[in-house]
Amino acid sequence: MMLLKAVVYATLAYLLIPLVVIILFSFNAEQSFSFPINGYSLRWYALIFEDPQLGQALVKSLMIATATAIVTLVLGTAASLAWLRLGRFGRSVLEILCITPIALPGLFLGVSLLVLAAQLGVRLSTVTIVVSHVVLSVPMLMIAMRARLALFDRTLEEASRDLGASQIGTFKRITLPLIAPTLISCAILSFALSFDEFVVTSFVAGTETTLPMYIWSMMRRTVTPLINSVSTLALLFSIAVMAIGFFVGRFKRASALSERASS
Amino acid sequence: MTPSQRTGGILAAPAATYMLLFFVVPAILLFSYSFWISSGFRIVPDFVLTNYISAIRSPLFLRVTYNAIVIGLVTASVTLCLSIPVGYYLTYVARSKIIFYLILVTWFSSYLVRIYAWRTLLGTNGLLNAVLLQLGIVDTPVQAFLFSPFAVAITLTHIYLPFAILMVVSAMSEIKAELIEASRDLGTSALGAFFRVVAPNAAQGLIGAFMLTFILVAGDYVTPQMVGGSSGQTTGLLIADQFRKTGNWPLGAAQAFLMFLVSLVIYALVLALGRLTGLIPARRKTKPAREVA
Amino acid sequence: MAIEPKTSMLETIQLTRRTALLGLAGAGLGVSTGRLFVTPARAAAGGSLQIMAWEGYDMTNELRDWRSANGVTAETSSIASQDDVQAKFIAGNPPPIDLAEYNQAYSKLYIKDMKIVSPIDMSKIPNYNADNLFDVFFDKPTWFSDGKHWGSPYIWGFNTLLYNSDMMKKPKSYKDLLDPSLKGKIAIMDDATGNWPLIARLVGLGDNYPLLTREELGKAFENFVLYRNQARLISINQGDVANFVASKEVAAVLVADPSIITQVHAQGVPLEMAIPEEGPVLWVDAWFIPVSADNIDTAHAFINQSLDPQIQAKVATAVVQAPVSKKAVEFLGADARARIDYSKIDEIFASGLPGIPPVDDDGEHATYADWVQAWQEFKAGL
Repeated sequence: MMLLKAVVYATLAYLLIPLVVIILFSFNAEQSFSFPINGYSLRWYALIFEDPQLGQALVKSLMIATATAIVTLVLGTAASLAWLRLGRFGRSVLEILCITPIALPGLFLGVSLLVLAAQLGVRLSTVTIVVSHVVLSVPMLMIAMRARLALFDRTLEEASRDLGASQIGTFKRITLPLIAPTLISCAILSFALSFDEFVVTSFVAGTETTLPMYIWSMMRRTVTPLINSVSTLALLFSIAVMAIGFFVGRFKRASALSERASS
Repeated sequence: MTPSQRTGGILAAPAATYMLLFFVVPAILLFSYSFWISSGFRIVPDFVLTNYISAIRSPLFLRVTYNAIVIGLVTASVTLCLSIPVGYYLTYVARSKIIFYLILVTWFSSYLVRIYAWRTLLGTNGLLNAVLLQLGIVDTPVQAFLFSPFAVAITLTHIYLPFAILMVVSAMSEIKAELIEASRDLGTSALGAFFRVVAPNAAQGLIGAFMLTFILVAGDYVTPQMVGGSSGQTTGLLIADQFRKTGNWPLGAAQAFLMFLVSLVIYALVLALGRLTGLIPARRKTKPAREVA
Repeated sequence: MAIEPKTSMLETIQLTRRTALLGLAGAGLGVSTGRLFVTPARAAAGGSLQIMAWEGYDMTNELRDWRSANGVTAETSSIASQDDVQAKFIAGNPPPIDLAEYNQAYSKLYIKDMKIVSPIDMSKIPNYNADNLFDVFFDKPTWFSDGKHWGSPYIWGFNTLLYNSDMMKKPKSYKDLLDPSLKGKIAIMDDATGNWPLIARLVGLGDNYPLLTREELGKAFENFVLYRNQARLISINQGDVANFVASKEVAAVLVADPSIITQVHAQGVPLEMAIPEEGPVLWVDAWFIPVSADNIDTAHAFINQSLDPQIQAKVATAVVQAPVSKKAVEFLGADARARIDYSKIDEIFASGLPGIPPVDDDGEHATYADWVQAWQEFKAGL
């Protein structure tokens, strides 16, 4: 058991150390990337604000991620409600369509969407980026929803209908509160996924530069500590988004439970 | 069809249509492109096997595909070996929320940032060398960390491990803890319990995690390129170059499908290996049919 | 304000007009309506510009005043290789890029083969004139053919051998890097257009480049493998190379951009430039207006600004390269002026500019795809 624990903690350290190092170096007063670090400063953060391109890229990424989360949420909610109602065959078809993309490399999805755009004569733009990001985030939503819905007893819905509630009423009072926490955390995961997506974006982007694309161009050409501060901000941003998702999810779940208990 | 199923169909339609249009159709298009021809940045519809033949005959394609397979197999194996104990720990020993969220954080921390972090860590003046020097294990910095197959494996494992852990956790949580306790009560060692109880029951999930990691890693061309130097040439990079540099989309499409075929073959081999070693039980009728992993 | 009421009125009027133009642009009428206001030899600037350029080459800082004075907003996609530009155009329905930078080697590919370049109306670029530009750039066939100006030369430089003067003596030839003492101590940049001409020169086929037969191509690469065997790394990243040089793991870089010298000097390592007998590899970047551009007038105005002698001097200093404007030389600092002997520019360009191999197979010569594959094989260690 001690051995197991040691392995687990070593693995965790392996996962976390690189992130910690990036954060540390982002406060490095010197330009160098060598250990030990001799002094700390905020100069690399100050540089971020002097770079207008970076600001544009950030705004673009935020817009794309928001749009992706909304579209994923709309499609995903409908699909998961459908999943509850479909028979075995319907479920399998839906799953194959909506989950398979997760098992394909971004490169494959990227070039195939590029080919589609070329064939349809569609201009590559922010829209094509959002379309591709939704293809990536729907599978994640479906997996999470399926796990959640497996616990969901549809007899609840039927009982509510039997007791005379309308279809919309049933959805609002019974179904939505039960699936809302999962949907919200999925929307947030979609946001995070889109915010970070790089490979597919690089194929389907038109003139736009997203934050990962900007980081990539910095990484390809030079080695600048600016990448550390930008990365740290991106990292903190992902954590913040996840934390919000976590707390909203918890809050919603708790309030749904208390509501059910009181009614 | 029951009314409920009809409502289901209507509700499923938007997502299904979307994925049909933006996932299935593009994949079919890409497949048909692989039979077209290209000359000097112009793509002409055709039906020839030239792209496949020239890809298979090209020593370059074979070399980089070999690279991709090796990188994929090594990374997927290491990833699975690390995610099993972590998954086991999280499922049966301590349901630690904190560990779980730390893993989620790494999963959702930026892909490029993680590559970048490893470039910093493995550099001549990086953390790894600093530690080794401090401990007196080496007396001059090791130059060979960065731009080596080792760098590629350690970085890729880092990138895909969190996802693999989550898959392993979900596969294991389907197995009742009582089963393991029962087998331990009967005197089986912890390792024995894993091989006799956990592995066979979670086999599908474990193989799923292995294969998914393999496919994603073998298709990742950004990481090997950034940390692997000349050892980081993989099929993915070749395919990406066809689409970006030389404009030979048909050849790139053919290479993408060959890579896909390679994944299928590896999947079959892993399954066969699992059956042969008895880790994957033959289908049992007593067990309720499980949903697609 | 009260002192100069006219100016402020004028500004208000200009602003209104600009706003009106912006609105029209949204309706898809911007370009044609914009032309109504064009005074001769001047392009009306305004609206947003989509630019594709190398990082630091898009004049973000240098043109700040010009942009705010003309109500121009610029959005740049940074390229990390010239291929990033044509990649956007292969799909057939390219995004509305107004301006892109291109290396002279790609002229034929972009203009003749891919047909993605629309001609520049030089009457709208008053700074493009024989007085301002060095003779080697003015109306030369690389950018001016069939009576049309396809590109506007912008900035130039060269890649050459860089070496650490503490670790080795000044090399006279690239071949000096094959010395056994340098095994595992040289770096090669993963930059096709930078290396290919040299690969041909090293087997005495420099004059033929880019037209080599497949046999010659094989021979050239067979020879170049000797350099790979000496190499510690083949890198796509200048920053990596600079770090390897700074940490003394690498003593020389085969053919690289000398702009990394400053970066390495900052870390106290004496990296110097050598011009070997095989010569440096020259490059000239020009602006072109893609066929998909939708803010053509502003693109012209931007190009005009890019040739302004003072702007030229500022950009050249910032990116450590050379201006195409001879009037810019006097605005350069002493360091920048000392780097290149501008009085000998005709000699520097006498041997011509490298191109890229033909994309179409003529049955005799190795094509662009052949070279790309040879380069990929080289990198993969085959």
